[in-house]
Amino acid sequence: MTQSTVSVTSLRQRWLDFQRHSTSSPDITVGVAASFTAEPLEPFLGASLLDHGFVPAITFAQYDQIHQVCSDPDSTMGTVDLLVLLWRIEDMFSRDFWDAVDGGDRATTRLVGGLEQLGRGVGELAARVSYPVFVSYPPVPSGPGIDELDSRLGVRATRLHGIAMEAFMAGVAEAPVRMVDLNGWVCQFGAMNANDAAKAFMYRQPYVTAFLGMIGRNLADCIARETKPIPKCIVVDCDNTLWGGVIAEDGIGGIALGSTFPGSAFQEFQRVLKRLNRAGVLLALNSKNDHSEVLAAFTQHDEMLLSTADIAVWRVNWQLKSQNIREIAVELNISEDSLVFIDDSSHELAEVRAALPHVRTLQVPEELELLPDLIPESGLFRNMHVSQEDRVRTEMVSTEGYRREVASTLTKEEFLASLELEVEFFAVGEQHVTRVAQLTNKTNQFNLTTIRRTEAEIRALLNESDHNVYAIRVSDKFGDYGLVGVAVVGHFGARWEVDTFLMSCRVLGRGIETAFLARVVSEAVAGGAGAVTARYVATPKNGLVEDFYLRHGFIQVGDGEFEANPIDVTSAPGHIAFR
Amino acid sequence: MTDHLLDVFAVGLNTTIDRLSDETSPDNNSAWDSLAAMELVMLIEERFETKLSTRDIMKMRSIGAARDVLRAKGVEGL
Repeated sequence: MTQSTVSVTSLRQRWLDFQRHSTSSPDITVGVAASFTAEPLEPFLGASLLDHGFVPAITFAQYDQIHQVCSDPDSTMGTVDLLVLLWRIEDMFSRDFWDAVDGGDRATTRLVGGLEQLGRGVGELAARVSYPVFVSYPPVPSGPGIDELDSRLGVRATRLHGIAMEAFMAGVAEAPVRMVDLNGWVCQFGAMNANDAAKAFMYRQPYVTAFLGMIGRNLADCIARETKPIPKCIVVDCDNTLWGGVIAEDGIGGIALGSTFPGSAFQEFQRVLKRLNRAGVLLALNSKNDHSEVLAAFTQHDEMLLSTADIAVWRVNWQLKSQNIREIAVELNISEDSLVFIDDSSHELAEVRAALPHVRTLQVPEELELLPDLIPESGLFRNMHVSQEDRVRTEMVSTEGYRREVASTLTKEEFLASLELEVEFFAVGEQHVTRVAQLTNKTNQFNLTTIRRTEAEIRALLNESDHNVYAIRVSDKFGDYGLVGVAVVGHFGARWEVDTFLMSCRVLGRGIETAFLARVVSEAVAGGAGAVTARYVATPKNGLVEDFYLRHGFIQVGDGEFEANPIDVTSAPGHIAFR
Repeated sequence: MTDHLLDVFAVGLNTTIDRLSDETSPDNNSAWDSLAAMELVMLIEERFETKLSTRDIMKMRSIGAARDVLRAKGVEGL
């Protein structure tokens, strides 16, 4: 993917000329709030929106007012048709993030809590206002004095970014927020190229001009997706499009499709089609061939990624391709302008364009290594996942029902927050052995493995270097619940295994189990774990926790066996404070 | 002969060249606020293919001062 270079002077001049001479009133007012000085984005975003055919107006919130905009968009932002929140971890959570990178446990907790709170704020804003809200998925923080080539720092920062963003996304939850991938854009551009220390220090504007150009262009593309529909169906030719060669002449064994070039290029192209199909785009075949030969390729060729089930409509016959496309449109009940036709033949493409001018066409490139990028480069389906998902959600959420649901969720959260829950997490010592053994023997419902242990066995575990025994004490504003949770964890190199995980039933339903597990996992991370495994052993009484691990980011890897990358494990809820 | 530096300032301060001189500064041009200063840095860097340090930026208290800074950096055609 290429990015054209941006001339700030000419874009700025174009934007100024537009502002000076345009007599039409804006058809879109974009509000931008950022955790850094974002005003220099204006000419880039503005000119890119002009390119998309908008008559735009752009307004900026005061610098670093993300929280304020979330809680009071009207008075901080004014009237807008769309809101863009550009925030970065190093602007809003600088101290906690870098403290956590340097190993501060409490900093990590504060960071996670802060991120989840911000996510909730953004989510509540998006659920409340009637216009779309875009929010950045921020990059891995970089900062002055950080050696970007230092692996230890780099890996820690990247992992912490993942944990922090999980907390943010958990806060956003199901709210209709459109994410914009600022992180991905920085990666594409290159972090070392994107950052500008002089402007960061002088103006709190972190980026070089060319990267601002990229942000403006990509944001405009995301915004355009709100009004420009995405094609619903891709119609593809078969010979020299889905595979190399001609099936009728070369036979199943002779077509190019597989792990070596050029077959690999066709296979990667099929993978793109498959991905789009999974995201909801329909696929149809339009090929001049005998139906049975193409069917044989689909059902008998080992390297076909597409299967017959992926194809909504087959038009494998000797009709004009334009006629086939008409029939496909009728069969799928969609208009011609929601179809994209892909073929290798200039002749066939010309025939279709002449008969059906509204159908968009793409040609298989002569350089086959470019074939997998054909659809991505076209931009036709860019940002689809986000917006289509959101569109479905938008219908769902624009009703009062959802608002009530949000309100009731809030009430529960407010209730939980009002409890002032505090959890003390600690490694079990001799003084706790009696209570811990008692819990392993008494606890039936919230007990993942129901392994009963004597005091002697617990004591033995405490002395084993490859096992840790953790416990929690819980209190809230009503009082102290005492020692109510126990976890026994074995560590075997980079794999940590949760052997016992139990909690007393009187503290359930407050998110404490989530916080407890998150802390155990963060201990595992601190101990160097790359993977955490866990078991669920069913008993007549512990059905309550059957899906506990699945609900907390683990995947099932066997009968009652679960595994998670620590980063995937659900973070501690924000209403719980660790002591 | 065109004065490329004045061209850049005209864009950055959203005005015309005849309203600018080497004496123009934030003190006598109300458009030259901190946001405009940042834009000017971006415009100057692009137009003269140079990179300004914070020390350069802090010296540019007038168009004439900016001209001196750029000359000192070896920028030609000023």
